[in-house]
Amino acid sequence: MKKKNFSLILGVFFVAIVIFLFLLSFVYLPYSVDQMDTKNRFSPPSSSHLLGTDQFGRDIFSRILVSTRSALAVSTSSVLMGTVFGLLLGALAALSPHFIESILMRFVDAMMAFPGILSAMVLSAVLGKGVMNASIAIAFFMVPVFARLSYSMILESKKKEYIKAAKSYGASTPRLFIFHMLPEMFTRLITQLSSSIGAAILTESSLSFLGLGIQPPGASLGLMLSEAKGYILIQPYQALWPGVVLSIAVLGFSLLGDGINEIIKGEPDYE
Amino acid sequence: MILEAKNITKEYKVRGRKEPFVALNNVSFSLGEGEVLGIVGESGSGKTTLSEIAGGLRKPTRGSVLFQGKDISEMKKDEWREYRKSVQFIFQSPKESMNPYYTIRSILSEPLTINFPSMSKSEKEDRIKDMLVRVGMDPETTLSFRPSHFSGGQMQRIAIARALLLEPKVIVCDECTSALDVSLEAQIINLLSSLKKETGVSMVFISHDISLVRYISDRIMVMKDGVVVEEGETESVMSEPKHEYTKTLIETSFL
Repeated sequence: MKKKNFSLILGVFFVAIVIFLFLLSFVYLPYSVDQMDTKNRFSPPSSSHLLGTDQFGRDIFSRILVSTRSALAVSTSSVLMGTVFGLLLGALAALSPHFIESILMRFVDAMMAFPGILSAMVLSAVLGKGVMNASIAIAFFMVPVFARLSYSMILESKKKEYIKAAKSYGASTPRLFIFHMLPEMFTRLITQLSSSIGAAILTESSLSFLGLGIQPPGASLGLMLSEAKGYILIQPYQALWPGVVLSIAVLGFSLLGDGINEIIKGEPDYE
Repeated sequence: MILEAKNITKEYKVRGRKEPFVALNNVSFSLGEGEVLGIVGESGSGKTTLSEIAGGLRKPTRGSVLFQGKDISEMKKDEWREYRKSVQFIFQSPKESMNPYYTIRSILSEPLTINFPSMSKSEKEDRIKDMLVRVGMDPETTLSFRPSHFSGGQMQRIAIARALLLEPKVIVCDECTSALDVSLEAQIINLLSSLKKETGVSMVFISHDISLVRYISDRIMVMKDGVVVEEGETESVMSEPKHEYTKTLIETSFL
């Protein structure tokens, strides 16, 4: 009997919710993110404000919808940047002569040893605040993860007999990498990509929470949580909703990664 | 002489030890045109390393490899390409020597694409089909499948087709039958010797099994622990082995 892949089912479900909110923000946005309704501050959920309002009377539901935009934009762009540069760095290290390999990989180790959120904070403090810089800062600590992963995968596939065979009929190193190593790496990169998006969403929120990411009056889950913490006793909803959406997003992408990983592991060997 | 190895030594650094591990110690051989040289030895004797150095897949620590009298380490780019094309390998495990992600059609056309960039698609297809027929495979039921579709014996035929596609002057068979069962082993050996007769290709035939090597080789070289212990015409080595190790190999192979 086949075991059900709960991680995948749950992951797809959660990710679908986040993507639904993201798409909804373009077609249906009840209020603008900075539209204040000062008469209705801290209002509980009602028909006019689906999830209530915050300390300025801004609609929480609308702000959450817009937050998913920045969460997805920052996380996917940073993870993609991290993947591309990490892949190139890892490939360069694995396919270079030994001393270049050592230099590059010690560099990657050093990057990895640095706590991710700390380096992201330093970078966004240096680069300045904003969406673009937050993406770059997060990408910076995604690079070593992907570099290590692709490095180890290439070292593994370098030993394969079909790589030796391709060399023997004259395939160049770039050709080996593109046609014979990448296809095999693809599935595992996708797994890592999905889990990393979860981590990136969390980092983006942390940066915004600390005031280094998305700036007010813009909307970000982290920023909303940060603002809500001062009013947690007056208006607990205000912290609840962004917290729930953030959890769903992070959990969703991580579970999706696990789920895909399970599928790959379950694949029969080429026998 | 088409391929010569002169005083090849290969050392590997061992972590935490000053003395390197010597995989090959001052080994030489020469391969004449149309000749089959059998290299016999137990695993770890350095026969695979030697073949990979002779085939240009690894660099020796000391010593040189000569292809048609020219040192391969001093070759210019186009000379190297010619050499690369002229020495082809057939590896031990047919399944692992082909990328599982591609169909046989793309696996077989890759060597042609690399070495004859101007060759047209239909010409490649014709050459591949022709070659598959020569190794006893039906192109119609072969080309659009992936390696996992085939049995070990079929895969080794396809591997032989791939090696022959570039019309090499030397083929290196590294334990190319050891993953197959005995009846298939005989088929592949027969195929290789008939292809050898047709094309006049030289061969380096590597195996741990001396009784197999004698069928196909003109000369035999016996290796142990990175050195050549005995070398000579197949018949004389088989009938009057001089070295103790060769005697043991011959005795055990007929058990």
